[in-house]
Amino acid sequence: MKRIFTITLLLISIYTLVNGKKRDSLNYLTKTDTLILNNEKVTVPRRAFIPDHTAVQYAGNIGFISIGVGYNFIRWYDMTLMFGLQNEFFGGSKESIKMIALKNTFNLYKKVRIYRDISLIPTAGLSVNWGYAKNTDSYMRIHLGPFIGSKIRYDINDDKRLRFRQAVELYFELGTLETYMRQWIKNDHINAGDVLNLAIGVRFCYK
Amino acid sequence: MKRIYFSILLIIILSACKEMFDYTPYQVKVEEGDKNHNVKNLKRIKAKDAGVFKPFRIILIGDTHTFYDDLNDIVSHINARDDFDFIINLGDVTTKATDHEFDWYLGIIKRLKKPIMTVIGNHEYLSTGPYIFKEMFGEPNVSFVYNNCKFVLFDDIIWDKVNSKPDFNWFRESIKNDNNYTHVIPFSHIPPWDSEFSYGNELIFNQMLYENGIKYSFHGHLHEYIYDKRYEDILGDVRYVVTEAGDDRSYLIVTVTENDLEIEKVDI
Repeated sequence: MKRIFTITLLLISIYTLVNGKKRDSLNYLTKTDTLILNNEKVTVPRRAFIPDHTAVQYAGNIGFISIGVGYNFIRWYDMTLMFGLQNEFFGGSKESIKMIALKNTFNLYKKVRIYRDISLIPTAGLSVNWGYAKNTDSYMRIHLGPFIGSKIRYDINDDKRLRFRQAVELYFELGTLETYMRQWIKNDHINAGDVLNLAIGVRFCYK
Repeated sequence: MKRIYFSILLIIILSACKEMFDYTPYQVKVEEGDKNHNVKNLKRIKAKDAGVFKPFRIILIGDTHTFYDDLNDIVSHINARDDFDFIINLGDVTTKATDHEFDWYLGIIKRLKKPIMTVIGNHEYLSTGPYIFKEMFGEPNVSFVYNNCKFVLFDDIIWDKVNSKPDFNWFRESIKNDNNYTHVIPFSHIPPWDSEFSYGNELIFNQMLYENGIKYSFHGHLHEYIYDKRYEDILGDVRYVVTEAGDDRSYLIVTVTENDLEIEKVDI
């Protein structure tokens, strides 16, 4: 069941990635909206369940590599459901570990333009991470992962009148886990470098 | 200017990270040099084995959890003395059994000059903890002979192991005095009267010790120092000894003599 769910989400995200530009092809899933653009009526699909963004991430306590889909609910908040993996080949763990993480990202500031269509957005957030190991005979603990970071956004299409604005974001996050943070506060023996770690990811936005 | 400050800050933060990327907190990834720590230490203990009985001392610590500063001080204090042969940690060396917590514990106990054996505790059974423990320390059930005394390190965790029974058969076989040993001394994390043990298990545990003529049983888990004949009213006079936790900043020194064991609590 879990596998079917994962594959379905994967297929949806690949589909939206591939057909990102050809919006009309998604009509079977969506209704349409009418906009007035340059005094012309334009019909654009209204998305229903299509995710607003898809993401691929390396490291960051949610697996060696993880993929995910998510929604940008409001300008300063978005949510991504990530599926991560670490096994002998990817990340060198003897036991194969699958992870599900709900990442809540807050945009701390409006975009700061660096150069033309490239801008920088500082972010912070909290992810809820849960892992699963196949042969485990114990209870897997849920971990909370606070992080700060920034994303470099390249706007492919930033016409405000258009409903769908497409962009590619490269993000860096400096994160930790609640249990590591507690030990860092409690112990002089543990220093910040031991508990902090870095994550790098790419995000494709359709909104 | 702002951008320059930002990039400088980023570089400082990044350079502070020793290992920049953490994949998962559950990863079972033990470096080659850190594997089988108990097995390696057992070899060091056996190398000094006299073969016949000779009085000696051992040190017991327990429930060090994530009190790393306190453990550091305990290790320094132990390193300053030379009147004992080895150390036994009675379990709970982590709190959430993450990969980092095991590494931090191992990093500290590597400073010890004398060998140390680590018993598995209930906190090591969270998440993928048992796999990391087996990789890093070896099998949790160990028995060995030192100076004609038999030491039995027993994994008696129940709840955190999804309510599976401890390997009582192995324990019963291991605590048999089958070779005229001077003492047989069992060590396990959870004392039998703890709520993890059912009442049946509790009495069977005590009965097994009594039938094999064992005088002392050592435990951790309760974070307080206990020394009493717990089941005097029911059966036998087995003395149960429980160590304090790491943040109590103490350890027990056990003197093994021909007829008896003397236990002394040392506060640092």
